[in-house]
Amino acid sequence: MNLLLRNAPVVFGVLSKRGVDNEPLSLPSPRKAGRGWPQAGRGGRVKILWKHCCGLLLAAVVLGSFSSRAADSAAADSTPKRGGTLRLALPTDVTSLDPALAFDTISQPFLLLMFQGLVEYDDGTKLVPCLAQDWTVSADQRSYTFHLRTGARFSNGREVVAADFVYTLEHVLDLKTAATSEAWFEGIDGAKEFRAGKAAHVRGLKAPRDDTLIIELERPDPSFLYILTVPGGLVVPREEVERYGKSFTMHPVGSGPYVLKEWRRSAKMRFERNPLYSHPERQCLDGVEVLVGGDPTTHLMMFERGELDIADVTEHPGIPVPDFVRIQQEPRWQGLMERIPAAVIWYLSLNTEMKPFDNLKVRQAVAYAIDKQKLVQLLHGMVTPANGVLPPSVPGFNTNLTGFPHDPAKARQLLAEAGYADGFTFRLWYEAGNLLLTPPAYSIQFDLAQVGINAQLNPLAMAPLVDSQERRHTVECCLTGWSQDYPDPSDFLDGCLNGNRITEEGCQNYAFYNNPQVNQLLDEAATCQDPPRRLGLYQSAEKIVVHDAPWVPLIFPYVYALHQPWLHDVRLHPVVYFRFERMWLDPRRERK
Amino acid sequence: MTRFLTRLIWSVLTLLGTAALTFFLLNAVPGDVARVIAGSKASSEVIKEIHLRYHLDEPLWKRFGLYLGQLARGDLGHSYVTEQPVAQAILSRLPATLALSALAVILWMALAVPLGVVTARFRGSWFDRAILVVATVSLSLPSFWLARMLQYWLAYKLGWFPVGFFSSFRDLLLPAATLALLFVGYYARLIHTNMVEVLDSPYVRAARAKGASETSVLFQHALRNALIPVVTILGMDLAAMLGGVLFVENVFALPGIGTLAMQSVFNLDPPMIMGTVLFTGALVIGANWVVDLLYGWIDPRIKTEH
Amino acid sequence: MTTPLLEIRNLQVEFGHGAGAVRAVDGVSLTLSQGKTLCLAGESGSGKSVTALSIARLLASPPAVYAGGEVLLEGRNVLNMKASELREVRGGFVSYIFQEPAASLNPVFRVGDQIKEALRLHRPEAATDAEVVRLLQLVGIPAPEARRKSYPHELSGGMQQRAMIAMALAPHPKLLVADEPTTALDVTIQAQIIELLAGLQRQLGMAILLITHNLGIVGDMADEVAVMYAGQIVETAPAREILRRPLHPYTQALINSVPSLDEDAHRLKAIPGAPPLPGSFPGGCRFHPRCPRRQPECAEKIPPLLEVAPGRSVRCPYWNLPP
Repeated sequence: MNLLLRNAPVVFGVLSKRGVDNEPLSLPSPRKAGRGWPQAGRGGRVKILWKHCCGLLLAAVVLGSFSSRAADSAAADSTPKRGGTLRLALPTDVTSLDPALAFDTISQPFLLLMFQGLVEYDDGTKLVPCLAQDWTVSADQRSYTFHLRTGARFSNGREVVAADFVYTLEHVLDLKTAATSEAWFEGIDGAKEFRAGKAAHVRGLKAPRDDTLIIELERPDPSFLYILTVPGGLVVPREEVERYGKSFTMHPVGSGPYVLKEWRRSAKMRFERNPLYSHPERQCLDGVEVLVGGDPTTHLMMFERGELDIADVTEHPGIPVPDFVRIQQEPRWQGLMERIPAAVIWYLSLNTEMKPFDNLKVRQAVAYAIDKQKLVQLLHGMVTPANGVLPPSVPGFNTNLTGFPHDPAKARQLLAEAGYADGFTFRLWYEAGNLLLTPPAYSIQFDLAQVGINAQLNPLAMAPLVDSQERRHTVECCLTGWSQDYPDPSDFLDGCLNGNRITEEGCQNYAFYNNPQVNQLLDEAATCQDPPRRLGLYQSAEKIVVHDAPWVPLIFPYVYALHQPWLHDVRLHPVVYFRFERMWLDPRRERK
Repeated sequence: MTRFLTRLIWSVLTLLGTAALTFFLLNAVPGDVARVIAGSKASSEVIKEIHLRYHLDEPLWKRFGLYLGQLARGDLGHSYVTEQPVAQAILSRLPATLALSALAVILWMALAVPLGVVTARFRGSWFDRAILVVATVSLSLPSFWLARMLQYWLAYKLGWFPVGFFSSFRDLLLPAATLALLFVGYYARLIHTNMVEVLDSPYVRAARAKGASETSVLFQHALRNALIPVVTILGMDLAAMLGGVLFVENVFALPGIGTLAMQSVFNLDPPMIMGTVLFTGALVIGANWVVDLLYGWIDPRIKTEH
Repeated sequence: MTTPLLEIRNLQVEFGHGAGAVRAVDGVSLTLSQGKTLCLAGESGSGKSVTALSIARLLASPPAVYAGGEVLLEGRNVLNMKASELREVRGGFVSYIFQEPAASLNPVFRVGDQIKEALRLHRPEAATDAEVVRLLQLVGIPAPEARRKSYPHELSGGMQQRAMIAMALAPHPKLLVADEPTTALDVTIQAQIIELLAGLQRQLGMAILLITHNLGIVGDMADEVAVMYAGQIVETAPAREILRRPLHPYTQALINSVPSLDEDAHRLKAIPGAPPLPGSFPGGCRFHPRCPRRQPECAEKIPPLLEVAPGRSVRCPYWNLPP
């Protein structure tokens, strides 16, 4: 594996040189790999041009987890063409394009246009080289040595070196930056001292040579490579960050395929090709233009008139709920709606520290009372029912979990056993105005009423809602969700169900669930170095959680991407969803 | 001069009061702007750092004082969430809002004045009654629904106008028409009522007795008087619109002040909220001034002092 | 005989229509010759203003309906005129001055501009500032050059009325209708205005129709007087005679009710009852419920207007009975 990876740049070089007529070589198009993922609408059949048989064969192997499809006799218009500007729209502006500060899902694809990290995802959840061409991990799993690719440049001209990564991570760990992803990198050796101001540098970050980066962790962490994919891990040049400080978001400088050319805040963003980027196959588009403002219905109207290339790039859920059925049935849009399960779970959180949800039977009764199939119907099939904590795209997803079936009689029985034969009243908190949550809220209210439980709906704006949910002894029950940062069970289980991480405020464990058995399993898994055993530990923890019902898992949504027929390679990604730099436009049909 | 000064002082006090009220209300809302800035998964150290940076843990009166000091230096501050200078954010949204409002006013007055005059002149006729019905209906139209309907039929289906976004002033026609439709009924009736009153007055009869043409009687003698109270209301409506018309901005994706203000509230972003509130407050106060001056200019019976 | 300047023949004006219509003017006939002054006297509600306004068809119609009769200005019937003809007549032939000068001048235009408008409409060649100043001087307004730039509210009541007179005279009308021109003014000013009107008439030679309820001013100006009651003319006479020897019981009661300075009166002599409103006129003679000389026959039918001497008519069959 390492040998081939090391040859990857050679192969890339070969491939790009071979583009004699300025016709980019097309990469084999990946099918959506993996367990039980629904088929993508289109399947992405691509004709492969064999310009250099051996080189490409090597490339196919090197590019690892792409599962290549046999060449097909599709029309010539499936050869990636260069040119055209991708036109998108967002209802609200991204808050920041500074990778240290941007955390909302909407900014991710734009960050990936401009910045790169050590590693990146393949078409699935496996990590493949990016700026690091290969790496070794020490026997005790505490030390990672990355060999960096040479020749990568920032858009200001300078070559990317190992010291840049040291700077980037120290910049994120520096409290003065107030970076969102700071918490992820705490595990690096010496990070805590640096953060506390007791050390000038982070002990565990070393750059002995320009092309070698060593990261040492305090304790082994099997998910560490994934942590490197969070925005905080995207490399930035020190001189530009220091020059611009807080304005770096308006003048981002990275090593990615595109640069920010214009940003009129809350109005328009425009990205253009970075001439210093050396992989033209990710630069088929001339640029990306994002219009900011309006609501999803307006955007859908514009899309249907051909003014936008993708209807909606916010991941929830990509098509306004009221229009979903119509769009699905319209012949014009057949085959143009990509779909992927979002790495998101929507669940009902039952606060185990507040009555009556401190009682196990009450929680299980609630779980029995809720009809998940009805939710799927209410949302027109845009979701699937959830029986566990982990969404389908996360490693460790357990298809065998059945959870609690819909059984109102059993629910009433359990309530009676718990001493609540007459039911009870509680407040159901959720985000006001969220079209994906409002039907489920009413449906749950109805279901619970059938077993004698009176749920009072309490919709609230996001900020005060989150504030209350994170506060101990405040919210007895909320309808909420968790979306993944990286595809690993620890992100979900440790993130929201580890009793050792409960705090008085700012707590992500909204159920304040604290089961010592689960905590022990999670702690053991956190440092377990045997991957199958590790997944097994998480699955055991998950089973206990499902039984204890601090959560009633409700639904896993899909992300949909409705796009124009002249936009190709839209393929949604299970973690990042949109990767604009891999799409291409057929300029002939771009403008009507 | 003293009257002017008094008025100025009162205006400043009003703005201060508005600022104080907003500030204290804002802080009564549960929710931490640091969480908005850093996200729900940020560590508590980062949250603490943000609190330090923005003095979020200091007592309210002290933070308000700091803000006032900053205001006194003419600095509206930077958004906590986006780092954008507040003044720049507001000013960048002003052209679209201004153009939209001006266009809307022109459209609805161009329609309301003739309608009001003609229905007053032919009071009780079928035309008057029909316009009354139409005006009442237009007043009752839900604004968001109207915007969406116009967008759907005229922009999406027929393609006569862009569905959204604003690249030239022509793009504002449909949103301005939406606003105009919502106001025209009210103003047509207002002008109608004032005209009816004026047309009954002795000086209109005297003008007719002079042999003035009916057009001259209606549009010079009567209208000039009938519009006097309308100017006041128009001024206030214009000021309100300049503070942002949310539903139009939302539906037509216009970069206006309304969405800026709303987003800042969702973000719990103090400098931006304060900035937009102060801006709107100053607009209303300014509009009051202008309207009073205008009133004195168009009605010679009012004595104004400077 | 030359055509009289103004001849009203059997004018009937109603308000409203159908069953609810009320007749405010019921068969009024008048004649006015060039250069003469006719005074139309009566209480509020007698129909005198309606009659006066009908001369230039100034009543708002609806609700007014010209139900019958003719209004002839040098032989042409105003009630049949086209709009363009009517506009020429208004101001060009007949001008008005009204009761409340403050309300009859447009508050948002300068006085001089309003006068100039009257000039522009009928004597465009004379629509100059100089002519405006001359007119203001004519009506006795001091400092006319400055005053023409004033707004109506900046003038006193008397000045306002003078300005209105100037505006009415600007187009050189042949007939001036003065609808209670002094009622809203102070007593001292009243006399001045009447004097002014009389002087202007001598100077300019126009006919004047003077509407009033105050018989006191009648003597100074009028050549003839017509008394109206409840929509009808009840007596006509030369001015001197009507004061000396009123014939109709109503006229007599009116004149008696005006207190005189050399009387030693303890109490005002009011006419008992109140004048009836249009729509609720009593049957028969409309004055009979209040008449001290009423006879049983008075309630039965409306007495005709009898001409008892040249220029003298009375609507009462018992006019020569002793009071």
